[in-house]
Amino acid sequence: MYEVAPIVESISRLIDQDRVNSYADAARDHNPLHLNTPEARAGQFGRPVAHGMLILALVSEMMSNTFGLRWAEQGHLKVRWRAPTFPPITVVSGAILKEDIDGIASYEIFCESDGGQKLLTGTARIMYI
Amino acid sequence: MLEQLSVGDIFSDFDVVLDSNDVDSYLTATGEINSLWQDYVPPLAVGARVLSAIIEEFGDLSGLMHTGQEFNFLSKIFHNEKLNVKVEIGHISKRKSNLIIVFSIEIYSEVNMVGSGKTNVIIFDTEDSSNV
Repeated sequence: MYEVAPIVESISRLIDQDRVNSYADAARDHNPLHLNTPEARAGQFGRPVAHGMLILALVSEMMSNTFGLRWAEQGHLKVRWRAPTFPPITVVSGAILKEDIDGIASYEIFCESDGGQKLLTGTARIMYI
Repeated sequence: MLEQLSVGDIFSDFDVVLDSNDVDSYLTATGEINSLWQDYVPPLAVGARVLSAIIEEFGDLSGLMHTGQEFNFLSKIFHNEKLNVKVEIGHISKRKSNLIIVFSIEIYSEVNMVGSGKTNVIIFDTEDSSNV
């Protein structure tokens, strides 16, 4: 598939409340924390927070774009959310190659706001040969 | 109920099937465009559905926050493929009055494991004013 670990192209996407609402329906996750609800406004953050998995979806998308179905067959992800994501916001995902040994590539992955605030960090690993 | 859970307890065991409409909804919501998913399910779409099922078990969602996630994707999954998901308590502890739980997840298609993972959540004690 590749002879050396490839560059993973980053993705940038607007995460607005409409997208969060659509994701709530698609994922069947209607936690009021994520929606424009009294609970979200009265909660810890005072406003709706995007689903963490919606942000993580950008990471899986960029890995699928690079590795195709192999990502679904052999991908490994480990992440922590570093800050809540308040819509509307443009989120940028990225991957930095950290290790390339015996055909297994390890990337440091992240999602950040367009202002540079880290929203999610972690690692992704895949056999690419 | 949560405080009575112990490591190794089965938290839930359920089936998941994602059809082409489910996949389309997921792709529309996330904004992902990739022809791979005309026949196969994006791996994170399965993860999202599993997570929502776990969260649903809680009933009262106030104070619950998803803090970390690990996935091992082991096989491509076709539209309409029936998956069985087993969720165990991998870790449970208390910090101040907040509950920290790690769920260990295994996803099977018939007898084959097609994915696994760990979901970390924290459940804030919303009645404890020191959390504010």
